[in-house]
Amino acid sequence: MRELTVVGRPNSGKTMFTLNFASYIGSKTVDVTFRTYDDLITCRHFSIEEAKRELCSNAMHKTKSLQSIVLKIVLGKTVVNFKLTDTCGIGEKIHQEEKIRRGMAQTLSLMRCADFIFHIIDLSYISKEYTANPNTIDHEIYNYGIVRNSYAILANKIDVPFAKDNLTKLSNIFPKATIIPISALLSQGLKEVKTCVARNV
Amino acid sequence: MSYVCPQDIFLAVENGEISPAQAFKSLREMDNITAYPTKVDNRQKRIEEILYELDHLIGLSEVKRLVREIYAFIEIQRRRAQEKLNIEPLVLHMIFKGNPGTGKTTVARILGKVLREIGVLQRGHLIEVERADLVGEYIGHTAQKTREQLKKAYGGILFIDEAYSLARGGEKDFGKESIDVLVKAMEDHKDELILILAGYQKEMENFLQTNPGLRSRFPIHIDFPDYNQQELLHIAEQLCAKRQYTLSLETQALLLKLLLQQSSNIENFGNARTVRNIIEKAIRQQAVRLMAKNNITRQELILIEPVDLKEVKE
Repeated sequence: MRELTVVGRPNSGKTMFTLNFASYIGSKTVDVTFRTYDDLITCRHFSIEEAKRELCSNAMHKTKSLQSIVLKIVLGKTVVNFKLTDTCGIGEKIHQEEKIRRGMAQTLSLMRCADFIFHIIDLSYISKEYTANPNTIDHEIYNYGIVRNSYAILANKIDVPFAKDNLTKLSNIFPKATIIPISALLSQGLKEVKTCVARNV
Repeated sequence: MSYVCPQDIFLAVENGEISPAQAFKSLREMDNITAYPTKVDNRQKRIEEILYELDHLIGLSEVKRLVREIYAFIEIQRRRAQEKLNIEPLVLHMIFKGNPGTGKTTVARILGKVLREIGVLQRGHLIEVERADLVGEYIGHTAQKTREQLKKAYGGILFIDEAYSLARGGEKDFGKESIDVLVKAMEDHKDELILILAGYQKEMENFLQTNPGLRSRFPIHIDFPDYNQQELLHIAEQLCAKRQYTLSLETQALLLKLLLQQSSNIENFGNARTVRNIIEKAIRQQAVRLMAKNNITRQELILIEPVDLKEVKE
């Protein structure tokens, strides 16, 4: 089973994307497997709505460990299972809280072995300073992902009014990557993501 | 700061020594470093790795020298073949002589891997058989059974433990029939099979004397001498280290005493295998001892005390 992972800054919409994508490709309920840093595994059964209530939040660093769900995707006449793993967001700075640093370490180690990386970038986050600075964490993830060859950027929050202009900026900053504009919250653009997943499972 | 493996980087992120951004840089550097040399000469490296494994066995200096010799011989024959020079046929059937627990099977396994990497053997696996696997119950059954085992071994090594037992039964024993089949196969299939006969020193000598044709068909004879006390102690330490245990000094002294006692008592002293059994028993005893305690420190979990050995008497 291929493992696809969702990475990005904290509060860029990783968990929301994961759950809405699961719902988009036909899951009504999900079994979320939480894997903490010391390899403790717990599994919980949620309906999509419950999961959104419990796992998503507007605060930073809601997700602190790896949260995997196994999903089915229909390709022609066959059904293929794949694992979609939501991760702890990573920022440039060393975080003061140990739990979150551990979460980040988990994210990094998963990125090394995952079969495909979805990199979520918050379009509303893109500012002048962001464009000028070549050392943001998104650049690092991009540089790392692009050599891996199995990498795509999901430009999230396309529903935010001024986001459209930012999309062109984004493609200038990251010229080599495939960029898919989505809105995780409103489930827009998930069709393209599904095609991308279908090619890579 | 440079890191050796990815785990170090993850640990550094966790401990707050470096930021995730730096971690990505280090990871990229690491991938660049590891991406190149692997391609240069994978085969050579793998062979060296296997030989390193061999060098890590304790004692057996004669055996190690011989394996290196065989490796060099094969390599040079190959180079000669490239230069269109006459080459010696590669007949690598062997006889291993030594007491039980002196490392015959272990060395055979390593040889299999080396020969596969060099390209002499296609698969390099080891089929371990004994008399019961080769000799049948009625007339004609033996040849069938032996051939079956041979078929399994093609492309690898057929290792016959306690091979002298094939010639033990006397005139009417089926063992002889098995030897005939083996001899024929080792000539006919000498490119795809290596036959190793193993057994105790004395018995093997007798065996070879009763079958004069056999000796000349096996160009390589390797003697596996018994380990001395010091080597056995080393083995014990290595076994413990592999399992993340350590022996205290008193335990080592006691172990030596125990080994001395056993080697004088038992005729076919099991050597390294005995040491392994003792250590495994001691580990179990240690577990029993620690279960009774309430607070166990990390150190206690690692250390094997003389008390644990006292219970071990075979």
